[in-house]
Amino acid sequence: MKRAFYSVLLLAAVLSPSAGATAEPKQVVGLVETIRVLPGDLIVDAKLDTGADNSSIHASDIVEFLRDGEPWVRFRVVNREGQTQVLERELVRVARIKAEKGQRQKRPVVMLSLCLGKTQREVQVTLVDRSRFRYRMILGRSFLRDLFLIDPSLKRTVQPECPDTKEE
Amino acid sequence: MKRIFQFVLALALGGLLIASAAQAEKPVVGWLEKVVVFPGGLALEAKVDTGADNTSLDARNITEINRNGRKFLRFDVDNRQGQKLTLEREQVGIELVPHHKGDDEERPVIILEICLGKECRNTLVNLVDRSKRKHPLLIGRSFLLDRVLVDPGVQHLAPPTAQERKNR
Repeated sequence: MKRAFYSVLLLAAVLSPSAGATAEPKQVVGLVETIRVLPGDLIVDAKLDTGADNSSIHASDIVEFLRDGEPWVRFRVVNREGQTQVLERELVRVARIKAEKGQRQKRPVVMLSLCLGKTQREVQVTLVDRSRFRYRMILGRSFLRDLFLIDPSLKRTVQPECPDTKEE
Repeated sequence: MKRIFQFVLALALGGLLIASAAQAEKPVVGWLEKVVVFPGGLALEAKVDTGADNTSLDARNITEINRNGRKFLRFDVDNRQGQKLTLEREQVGIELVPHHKGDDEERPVIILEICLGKECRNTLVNLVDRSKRKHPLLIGRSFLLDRVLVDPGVQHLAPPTAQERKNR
């Protein structure tokens, strides 16, 4: 009987979500959230898109150049207040973006460190022309997965609060 | 001893119920899910896309039928897993899909009941040729809003529970 008692305790511990879960609970965020690009003070509103593999940001004046023999990209981004900022990053790859009517566009991909709430994550971001869209940035699954759940009926639930590594 | 055993069992089960009730305000679904559409009860692989306003179904051979002055559409749906269905639904509208270049695209809109996990909802669905897309159904916010949370890191979290329902 004592053995049965302990086995029930064990069963309860294993089945209980709080005791059984080893990972942090995923944070619920909304469809639109304020993102900070680190290092720096670039703040943009992003749409959180479970239909997108990767993230993208609106960039203009994209110039590819060589730095120490490696391909780099210089590009201009616009923050939420309309101020522009020039960033330089190493080119990771060139994405072929699906466009309408069978056309494909080649777009540079760079690594950006992004902050959503208290979470900082460095992901591949495609530089695209989003001037016709309401949100300058799309956050895709490579940034969101394992950490966030999206509630499409919410907007702006958190502010970016990651330490800026450059200032430390 | 037996009474203690029963007490612990009740405690364990009660704790489980409370824990799951607290979590289950809105059900969590993955970014890819198998859903069932009615009428017909066809199971389809769907991409759950918080970035999409509306819901799109891959429909072929769309023909218009005039029935007592009302416009119906007959179309074929293929779940790409060996099952096909021909449906007839009243056209309830036209959706304008803006394109990057040139003219907006016009898609006919019908109403289908879509069941995702336990959530069934009559949904406005636009019909389009999605033969170049990986999944025959795209579920946008018109279905998701106020109903579910989307986990961008998992697939097939919410198996359909409505398959046994009779065709309506």
